Amino acid sequence: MLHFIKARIRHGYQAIPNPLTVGMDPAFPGVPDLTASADLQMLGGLCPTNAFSSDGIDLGRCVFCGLCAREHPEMIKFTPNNKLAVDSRDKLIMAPGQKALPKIEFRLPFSLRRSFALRNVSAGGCNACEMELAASNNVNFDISRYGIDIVASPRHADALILTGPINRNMAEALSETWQAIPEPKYLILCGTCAISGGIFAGAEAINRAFLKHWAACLFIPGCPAHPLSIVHAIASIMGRR
Amino acid sequence: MSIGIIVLFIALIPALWKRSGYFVILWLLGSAFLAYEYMEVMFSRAIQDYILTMPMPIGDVSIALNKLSAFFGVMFSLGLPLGMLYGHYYLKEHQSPALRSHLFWLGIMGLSMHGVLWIRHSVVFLMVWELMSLSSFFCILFSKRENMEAGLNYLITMQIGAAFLLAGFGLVYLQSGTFDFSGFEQMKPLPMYLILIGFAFKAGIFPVASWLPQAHPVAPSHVSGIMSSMLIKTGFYGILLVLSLNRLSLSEIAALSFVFTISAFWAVSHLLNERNLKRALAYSSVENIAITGMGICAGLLGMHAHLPAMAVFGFTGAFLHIFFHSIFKAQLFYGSGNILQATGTLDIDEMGALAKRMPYTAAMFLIGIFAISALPFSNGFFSEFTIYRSAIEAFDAASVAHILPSLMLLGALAFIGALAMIAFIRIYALVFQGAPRSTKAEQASELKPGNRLSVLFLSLAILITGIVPGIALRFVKPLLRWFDLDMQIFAGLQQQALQISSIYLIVIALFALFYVIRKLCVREKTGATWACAYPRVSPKMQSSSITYIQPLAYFLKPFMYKKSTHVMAEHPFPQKVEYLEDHPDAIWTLVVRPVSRIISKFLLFFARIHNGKTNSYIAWALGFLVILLVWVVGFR
Amino acid sequence: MINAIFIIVFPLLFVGLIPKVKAIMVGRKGKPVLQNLRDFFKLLRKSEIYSDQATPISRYAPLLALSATFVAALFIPFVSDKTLFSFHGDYILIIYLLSLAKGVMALAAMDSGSSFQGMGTSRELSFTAFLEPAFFLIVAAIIFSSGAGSCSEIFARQCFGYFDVWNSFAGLALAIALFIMLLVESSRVPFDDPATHLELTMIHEVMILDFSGFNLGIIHYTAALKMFIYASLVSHLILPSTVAFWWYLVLMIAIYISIAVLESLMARFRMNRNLELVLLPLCIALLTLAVLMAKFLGAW
Repeated sequence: MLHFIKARIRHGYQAIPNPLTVGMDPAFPGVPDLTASADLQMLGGLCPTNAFSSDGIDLGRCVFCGLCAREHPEMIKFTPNNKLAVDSRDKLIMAPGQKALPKIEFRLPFSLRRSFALRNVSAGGCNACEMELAASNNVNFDISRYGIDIVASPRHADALILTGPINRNMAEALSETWQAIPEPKYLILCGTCAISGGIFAGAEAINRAFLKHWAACLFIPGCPAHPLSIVHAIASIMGRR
Repeated sequence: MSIGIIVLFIALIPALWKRSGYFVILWLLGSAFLAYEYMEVMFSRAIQDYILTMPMPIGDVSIALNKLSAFFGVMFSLGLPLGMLYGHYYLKEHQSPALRSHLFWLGIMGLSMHGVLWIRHSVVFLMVWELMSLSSFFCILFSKRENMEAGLNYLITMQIGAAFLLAGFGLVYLQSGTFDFSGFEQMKPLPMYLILIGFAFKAGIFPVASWLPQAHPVAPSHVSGIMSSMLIKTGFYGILLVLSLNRLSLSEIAALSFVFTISAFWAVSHLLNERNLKRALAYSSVENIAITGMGICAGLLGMHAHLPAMAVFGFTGAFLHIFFHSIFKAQLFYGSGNILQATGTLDIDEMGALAKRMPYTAAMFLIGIFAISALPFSNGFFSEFTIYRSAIEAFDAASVAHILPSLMLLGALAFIGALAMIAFIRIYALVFQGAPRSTKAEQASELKPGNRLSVLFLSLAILITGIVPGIALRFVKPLLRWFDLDMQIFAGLQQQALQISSIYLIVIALFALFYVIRKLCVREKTGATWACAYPRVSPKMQSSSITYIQPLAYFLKPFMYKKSTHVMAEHPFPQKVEYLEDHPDAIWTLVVRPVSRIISKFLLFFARIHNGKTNSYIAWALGFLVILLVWVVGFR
Repeated sequence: MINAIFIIVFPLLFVGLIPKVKAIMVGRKGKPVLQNLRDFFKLLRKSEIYSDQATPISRYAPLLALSATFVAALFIPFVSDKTLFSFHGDYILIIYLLSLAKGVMALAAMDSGSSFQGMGTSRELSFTAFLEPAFFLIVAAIIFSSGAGSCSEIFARQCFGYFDVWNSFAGLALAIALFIMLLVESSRVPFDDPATHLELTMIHEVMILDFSGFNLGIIHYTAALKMFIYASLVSHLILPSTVAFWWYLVLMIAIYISIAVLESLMARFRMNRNLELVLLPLCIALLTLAVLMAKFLGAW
């Protein structure tokens, strides 16, 4: 008991006072700043996941490796803006010259605004997004202060938060979990692998048929998605901003 | 002579012609007449008193009813026809060449049960008692070879009990000079103990209850139901008869309560581990008999300590429990008979999901489970409530010598009640819920309505006497007055029964409110059971009978006698492994079997005499005559 | 009547204290105190999914459990000493109503045939086996020393009296026994861990694995109510009647805070050790009864 009190006094109060407005370290790769004069073809040749197209940079494919920014800092820079989430897939494509992502307009129904239960399905992948999701509930980021809870049984959940590219072995389990969640239910895609397959896109072990049937309401890019992005995203659809 | 008894005798005639339908109808008729007579004796001053003059040495046989017999008689005349009704439909499915004799012996068994209540002459009583044992033996047997061992065990145990009774009755005759039951007043200790032990054999009290769990599973379901609900109550009839005419000392009451407590614990520890549905119900009968006995002990303690409240509550609880137990135990046995017919097995590890396939049987079995676990809304709750009240009333007593046994009763009752509830939730869950564990369970389907009729009547009786226990209290009232118990306190108990009924109504009203809210507001869907999305879920992954009880069994290990055989894996590659756990009856395996083996070895010494040759028999007889001659005449 | 209104709102409110105190102990913000109430209202509006192996028991057992627990709570004095119902010997009915709630929930949990729920139910029921006699003996000890008859008298304050040293020791011992029962029945550390939500601890949380929506909300409320009942019993045993009623609220908050502190400092014990621990209330009650009887005999 005494050890506990000593440790507690030494650690102090570690929670971030307001995770929605806190600033990030300048080195954090957040929302990219693609200049209007950028050569999309050349950048597209560099990108390992083909995130560049004629429309701009697709954040749903970008793994934030920073190769394009290191080679051509005059064309693209990653700003430390962690507000990366959007509520539909096409809003993730940033045109050259676009400074920020469109605001999230989707709002959960009134009954879910103060209490939201998530069930995480880890569908293949490297597990970094799962660790970041778990970290969002730790002492620093503390997602539970907004009434968000990560539950273990899909019957108790309101939303399924998907991390990982959905490989073959997890496809059936994922759809069974989705079937086990009662209405009203929502699908959240967390991490680049969930949104587009990430670095695994196009592999033969991937089976993303699930996402053809069911539409997601929230897309959180990042590789891995930063806990602050996750907190900001979910708090937004709960109407916290 | 009583019309009812005559009608019951006439009922034997269609039995001999295999007309079970008419048999049942005549039984219903006769029981109705008998019930009317019994009720008359119970509630009014009517007297049924006849004297039969038989040749000496039997003498005058008094055939009369008193309130105690009338109470048991009403119970029998309500329960027996329902049993016969169930048996009629049951026997239709199980055609057997022995139907004629089975029905005949069934009729004789019922008749002898009634007869035991009327007869007041010890020798004739014993004759009818033995007739009851014999006829129930034949009913258990049902002409099946495999029932022979259990049936013979039952018969021999009953004979030993009757031997105790004979010894006791003989000593009473020597002491009082009359065969009549009035000679039972103020008996000396030895004949009283002998008679009580003799009746204990029938009632099923540890350590002589080993016949119960052997006879009930093999007997046809209507016979097990009748036996468990009514036949073993005749043992209590005898015990109560003796207790009503004698005063026991405090140490005797304490010893009696100790015996009942041990009996209940023994029964429950077997009940928790049992796989066979009917054997579990049989152990539960032993446990409920022990609870009734505890109520009687509490009542006796109250009378001894001059605490009228304790005495009233104790005896009321005991009588109510006798009555209620006969209702719900019969209902459960008939329900398990239905399960046996539908699935062909009694092993709960092979059942599952029967609630989906047999919804009516499941619903009625659930009501029986409520009753046997003494949960509110059922009649079992009220009788245990009364016995708890009596144990707590003991705290007003003056001396610790009275408080200690009642404290033991209170703790034992609470513990056993909790364990019984756990055991029966386990049984219900494994049999009716989940997924089917074998093809037998998968192919089960609801039985025809005739089979469910008796179960339905008994379920309604459980609910009615449970929610409005005042009805049963009014029924027990004359019996308490006969025992000279305080009627004002009883009136207080009746008021409490009303209060409990009103609380039940409030709970039901609340539940109805929530039900309506839920029906209006909630949308529902069905899907697969959530098993963490594991794709190869099989019914074998559910709880089995051993795993469900494992945490509790780990703890009660010192008190349970367990034998397990296992074939374990020796190397990492897939091979067959086996684990079999068995909970044999400790008394049977460790005491009775070795003793009977020694006795038969001893008797084998004399087997040489049975060599079949008439010459050697004559030689033995001649030798005996010579010895006798020498002994009487003497050497000169 | 005040009691009835009290128990409609306060149980979930008080349960919300526990995660908040745990959060303070580790230095984070934690779930808001009102979160349990918000979860409850959200769940009431969700739809439900049942297993196709589930029978009507799953659908209606939580409602029956709530009705039984609520009516049992109406017998117990919380804020005011006048309960809605009371009659001599009602404590037996209350204990059995609470075990009815537990029994039907166990049946409902087994309904879907999930092996998780089987394990949870078997463990929970094995705890019950030792708690019911403990409860009876605790009540018996109080009746023995104070001569009270009905629940409202038994659990009214100052049933032990502070003028006599042995009576107050007995009261404290019984309060400790009841506190341990509180920990077991509301599935708190060290018997069960409500924060791990399932597999690791598999006792109470796993019994509600297959429930969703309206019934889940009802189950949460019933569990909170049961915890509230036991906590009130503990506080009533400790308080003397000479203090004002708001001391009761203070003591209740103190009890909840101590549960939260215990949860922060301990982990759940091994299952076999838990079973041995569950015997503790029974032993304490027996010992207390023995001491009270010895005193009655005049040993000292």
